[in-house]
Amino acid sequence: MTTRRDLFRLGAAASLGASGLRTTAFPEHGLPPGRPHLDYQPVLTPNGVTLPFRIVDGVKVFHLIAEPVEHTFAPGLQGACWGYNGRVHGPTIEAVEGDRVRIWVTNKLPQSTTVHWHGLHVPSGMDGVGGLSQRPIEPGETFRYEFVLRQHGTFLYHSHHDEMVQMALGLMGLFVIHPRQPEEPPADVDYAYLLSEWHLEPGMRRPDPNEMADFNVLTMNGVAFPATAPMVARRGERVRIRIGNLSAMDHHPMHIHGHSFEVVATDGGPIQETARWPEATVLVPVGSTRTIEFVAENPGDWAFHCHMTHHVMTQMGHGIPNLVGLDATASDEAVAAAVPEFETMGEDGEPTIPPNSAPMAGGKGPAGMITMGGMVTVLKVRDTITTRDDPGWYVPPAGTTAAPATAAELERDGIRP
Amino acid sequence: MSRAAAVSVILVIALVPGCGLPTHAIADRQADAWREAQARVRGSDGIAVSVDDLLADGLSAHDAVQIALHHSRTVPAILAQLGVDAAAWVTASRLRNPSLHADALFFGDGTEVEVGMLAPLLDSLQQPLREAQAEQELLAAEATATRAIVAVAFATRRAFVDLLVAGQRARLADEGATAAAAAATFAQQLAAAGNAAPEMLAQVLAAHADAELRAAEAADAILPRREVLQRQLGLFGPRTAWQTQGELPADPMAGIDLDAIETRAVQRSLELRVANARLAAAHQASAWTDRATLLPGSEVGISAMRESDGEAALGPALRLELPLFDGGGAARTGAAAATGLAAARLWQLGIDVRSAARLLRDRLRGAANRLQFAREVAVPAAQRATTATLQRYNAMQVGAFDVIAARQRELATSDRELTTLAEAWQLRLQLEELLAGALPELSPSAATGATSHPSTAGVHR
Repeated sequence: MTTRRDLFRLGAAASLGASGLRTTAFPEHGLPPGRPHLDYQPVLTPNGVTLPFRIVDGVKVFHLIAEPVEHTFAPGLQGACWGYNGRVHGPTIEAVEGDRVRIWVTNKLPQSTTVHWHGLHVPSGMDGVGGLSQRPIEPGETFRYEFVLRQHGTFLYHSHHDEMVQMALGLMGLFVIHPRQPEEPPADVDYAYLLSEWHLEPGMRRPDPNEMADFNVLTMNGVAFPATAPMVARRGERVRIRIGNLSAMDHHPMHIHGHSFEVVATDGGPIQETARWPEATVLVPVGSTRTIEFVAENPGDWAFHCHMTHHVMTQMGHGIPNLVGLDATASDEAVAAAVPEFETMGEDGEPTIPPNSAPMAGGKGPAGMITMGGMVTVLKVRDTITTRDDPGWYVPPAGTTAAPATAAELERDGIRP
Repeated sequence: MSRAAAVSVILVIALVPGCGLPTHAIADRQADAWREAQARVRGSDGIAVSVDDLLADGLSAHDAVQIALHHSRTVPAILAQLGVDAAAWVTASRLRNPSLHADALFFGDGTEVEVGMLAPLLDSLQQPLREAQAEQELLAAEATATRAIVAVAFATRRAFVDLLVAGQRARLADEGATAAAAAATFAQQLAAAGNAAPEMLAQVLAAHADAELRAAEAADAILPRREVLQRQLGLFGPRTAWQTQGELPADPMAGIDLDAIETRAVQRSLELRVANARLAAAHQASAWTDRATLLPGSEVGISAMRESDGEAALGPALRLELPLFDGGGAARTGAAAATGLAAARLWQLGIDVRSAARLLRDRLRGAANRLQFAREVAVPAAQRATTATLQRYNAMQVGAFDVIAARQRELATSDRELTTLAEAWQLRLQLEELLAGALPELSPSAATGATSHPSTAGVHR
């Protein structure tokens, strides 16, 4: 009797080899649908969800609904966006190499749309490029996309119709395809992020698709720090982070603290072990994915962020003068004389900011204000964990935290500050 | 009838019918003009306290009118002019004095003496007409004096409003200069920190200098307006150091009735009263001109003669002007034309008064509507813009320059509100003056709706 697991092995045997062609030959009807927790370990999408499916006649059936969404980027900052299934970004689609998937797309937007399966090797007519692959899905219509997943890795989906507008408003999501044959070594925890950028002036609700250069809300899975949920790992666990970038105009050098990693895959497929090298920052170009893996061997709270400094700010204005080095006392007094309501930035408590806006930085940390916002999250590595929920701030062992120098220490080391 | 009786009849005909208007009527006319002017002008009641006390407490519009009417020499001058005019017409209403002539001729045997008296033949017949004309002219003079006093009161109020506006505008300009100074200080601090390009610093400093100039201009603009009011008040020396009380009242429509404005303006018009009187006077003048040209220059009287031999005789005398070259036709035609002219002027004046009433009413309403819009929409919008800019400043979206610029825009909007308020008050005063009986001299701006107040706040970045 052929078991389900045998069929999995069969599918793996039919592969033409992961090191050569990236597409695997599978029967047109696909292989038996892969099951979460049994045939693969599901990814975790912080601040996101995974799209549910049902099996119909051996086909994994999904339903995406493109629709307007009232989305929260960060506390106090909402946007009138477009998303899928009530979310920005859309839910992560998760399946297994060899699965035959049928994805129904219902358009509840006020304009026509399509869905492109970014990086997937699909039949041309299923590629979702409006006007090229298909006619657009008009408002109220539901289209069927159906194909066999012939590869594994981290991919994306997004609107490919009036792209500049529809992607700027949030129509995108992650598409994760697990290998039919489990990878070695397996990851103990598998996180997935989709990076994007928006232009949303303080006080505005609608992201501006016309913006080409000055993006001021930088998000990971649609939210900006401090709204980003942390990644949690037990010390010694192998951590996989999948990073996709569908920003309009910017690549993002994603940097992790306290660890180094290897890039194990791109949206083109896995990278042979011999072709990998260790690094602590990976540039994720626009329209691509990078998958990194490392062992979380360093307990603590570690920032994981884009290293472009303006990308770790939220709603940072660029129309202000350079105030560095300014003796503000005289000018503040003069301005306050002219405008009585004037208050000096950063003094006298918290000045009033426009409605529907977020502070440019300032997540509260264990040692004070964290002067980053935007494309930042935290990897929390602990010796023991019971869940992937936020374990709170790390308490470092005594003597392992930077602290003010004592006179005796300075004297000992011959430091004359 | 004896000769003596005949002569007596002639003298009675020539001299008795009337002696013209009484002299004491002049003082009555002056008193009437003053009383009527007071009845037409609010705040024209007497001064309860001394002028110095009024000045010490801060001058109000009411105080200013009281001082202008009761303290300055303007009103006495107007009433004196009325006396001059009235005296001329009283004089003109009198019978012309008869003339007496006497001749003496010395002969060898004695002296021949001839004495005669002549009086204008038709003067006594024309005198009632001339008196009626004089009466009308006196009415016109009295109304003219009343109008002049009313005009003094409103000129004072207008000067007071002008002065208040100049003060308020100067304060706004000061605030604009303060804002520009703040920008300059900020720019200089930035430059000291190495964060300001020379071109930017130069522009900000130039804008500051410009704002200071505007503020100085606005301050200087107070002085001539103050002196206009000083002249109205008739003050000099230490008494010129007064200060005004309060600001321009916020509601230029308070307590004014705009219904049936044309009718009320016509009924109250002193100019129309003058024109009516002048028309009646022209009628009378035309009538006596008709009579006077029948026998121009004719005189009757008596003549007495005593011959050198002692024989004496008494008899009537007559002197006739022969209308060979001037039959009086031109004079009659001229008098008739003068009557037509007076009638036409009366008609046109009625048109002008009605037009002014409509224009001032509608322009006042328009100004009030703009004022309401400025207060309820424009100024709050500018204030909200400043608040929003401040919030964006707090969110580090914009810099202090933007905050200052928003404040300057707010000041510019407040300046426009002040301009509109001033315009509305001037229009209201003109309308009140019209309803008090004096057709105001409409300035070109009042007639066309143009405003000439430059913005003093300025917007600079």
